[in-house]
Amino acid sequence: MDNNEFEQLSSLWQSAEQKSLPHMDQLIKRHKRHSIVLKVNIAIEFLAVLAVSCFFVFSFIEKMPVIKLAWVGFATVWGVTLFVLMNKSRLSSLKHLKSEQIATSLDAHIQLLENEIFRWRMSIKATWIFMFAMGVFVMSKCLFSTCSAEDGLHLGASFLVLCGAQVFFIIKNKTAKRILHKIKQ
Amino acid sequence: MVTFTKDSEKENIIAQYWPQISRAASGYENRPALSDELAQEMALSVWRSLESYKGQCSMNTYVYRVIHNTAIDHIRRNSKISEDELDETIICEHTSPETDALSAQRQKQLCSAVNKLPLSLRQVMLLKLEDLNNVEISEVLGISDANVGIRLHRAKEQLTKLLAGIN
Repeated sequence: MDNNEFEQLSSLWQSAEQKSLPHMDQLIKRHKRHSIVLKVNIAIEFLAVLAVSCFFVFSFIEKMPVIKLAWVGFATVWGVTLFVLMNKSRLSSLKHLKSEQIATSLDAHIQLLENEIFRWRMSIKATWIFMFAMGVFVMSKCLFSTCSAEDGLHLGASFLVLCGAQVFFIIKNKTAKRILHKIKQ
Repeated sequence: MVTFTKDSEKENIIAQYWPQISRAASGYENRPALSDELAQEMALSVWRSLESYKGQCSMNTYVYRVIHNTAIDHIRRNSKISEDELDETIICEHTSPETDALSAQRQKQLCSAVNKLPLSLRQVMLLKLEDLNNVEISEVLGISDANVGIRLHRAKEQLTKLLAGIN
């Protein structure tokens, strides 16, 4: 392709019809709404972790049966660990989004994707651990205490929900990896 | 030092660069609905970034840098469907009614071919099609002049093959 041919292509490219100009005030409002939703999500997660932690402390004070106490204790440690690790990764991503969007090109985006993949991987592992612990808890309950059909139904439903979440995490993880590969080309 | 703090000044810049934003969005995103969304994201990013502009580089370079980083960010978040799976008939339908049929057909073919280039080559090609020189492209993408030259050479080769294939 010589320079003359390329100039023709360039003119052709630049003669394409443009989209209609956006209303900036509406765009800015939408952006602010997204930012609020993100903050509300973090607040909800924080409150959930706080509620589980309080429940654990009260269970300890009220001297609950050992198996239940172990289960609530596990859920608390699981929730707090996940919350801390997830938010550490989110903060790192936010830092990249705020400071490097302009200054750097692809590197910041690669880092963002790697953070995202880390979060999905962690969600997958955490869900497996939770499912395993839940199974152990139910089995212990059946062995050392009573076990009803209703318990079995609850367990089945919980496993189904967790399996659904696991499939979602795995798909998101694969998608993020595919995009990372595409950007790294 | 040039700073943009008034909304009217920012709106003028957006209006001035809207044709480039619009074309870049079509070059990065071939799904019509997402292409419009990307163009809006780019405009919003430029708007938000204008306050940080302190004349560190030319306005042209600065705006293009924001536009192209926003596109990469968009790809990061929206590449759920493989581009190969897309139906060719839905892409690049943004030709002007004023242009004649042949020109419209060629515009469509060019847009389709550009969309098929690998991302690293598409970036330099989109900037070159906007008449930026190699130095400006290297400033926008944060890569060396030599790298721009190599990518551009490969991009032209691939674009020629793609256009020949379409014809």
